[in-house]
Amino acid sequence: MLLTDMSPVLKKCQVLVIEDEPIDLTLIQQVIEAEKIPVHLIPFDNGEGAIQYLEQSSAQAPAPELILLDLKLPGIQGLEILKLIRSDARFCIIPIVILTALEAPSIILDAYRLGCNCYIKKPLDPKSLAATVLAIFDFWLNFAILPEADGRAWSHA
Amino acid sequence: MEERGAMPNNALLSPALHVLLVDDDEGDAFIIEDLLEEIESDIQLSRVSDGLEAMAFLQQTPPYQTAKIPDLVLLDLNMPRMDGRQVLKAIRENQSLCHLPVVILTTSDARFDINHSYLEGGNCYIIKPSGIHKLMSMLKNMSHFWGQIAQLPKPSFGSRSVSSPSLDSSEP
Repeated sequence: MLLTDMSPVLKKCQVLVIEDEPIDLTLIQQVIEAEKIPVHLIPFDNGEGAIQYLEQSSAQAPAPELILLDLKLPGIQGLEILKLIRSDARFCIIPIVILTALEAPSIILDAYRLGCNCYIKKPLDPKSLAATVLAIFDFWLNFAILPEADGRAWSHA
Repeated sequence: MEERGAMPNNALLSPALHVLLVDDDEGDAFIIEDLLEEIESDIQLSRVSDGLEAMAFLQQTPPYQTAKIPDLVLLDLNMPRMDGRQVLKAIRENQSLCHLPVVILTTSDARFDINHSYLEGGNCYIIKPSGIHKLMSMLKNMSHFWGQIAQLPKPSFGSRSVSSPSLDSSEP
């Protein structure tokens, strides 16, 4: 029998994911487990819940270090969530990766203007989506340096 | 040597990614240019050596009237005349440039520089690796991520439709 829970005590990167499609969420989680990516997912299927989490987490537990944001959601839409996060000094520093099926050039442009850190088109087939998810975490965890959540102390707001 | 998985370089299928490297270090710029060629990335590199030149390039003012606006800016922080922090601020405050993805690529690992860069609208922060293999691995990953995985903004297609998305971290 394999010992499955042998993962070293490694500080996992807290990643808030706002995704209303259960299949996609499951796939992201599977990639994390299969590739042993040191990420702890905090999933929400809507923006309201995620914003509420951010508001509470800044007061108690540390805020997430990275946000994966879908655009087409029930209730408050992705670009609106992006706007809300960027305009709140408590968590505007957190990098936001848009991961969505939408690909209209005007939406991509608006997302960058509103301050997303990068925009990823969600591939349709699961295999490509898995490779994309892996590439996202590879870049953001292994190459990019993430800001510290307490970076808001530096905010000039 | 380190291998980070297969990275298709469909140079024929996808148009080259035009990157503006803003770096005053001749040596670094030369190595980066060389390595990008070696890994056969589909990056088309332009290079300027300080912030003033970068802004002239981006605003197509002399001697850069014919410059092509890049898809991505690789920005060093510490430079003479106009440094990277000022360039980032100037880009984000310019209505016709504010969408441009800016990757900070610097030797500074100061926490202040990292946080400040994100707060000022830097898209990501990368510490310039010192060894040649690490540098190559980083360039491979970066050109794969920004060239193949991410969608970059194309202002020529977009209208200035949206109600001026002027928000940034400097809002009160």
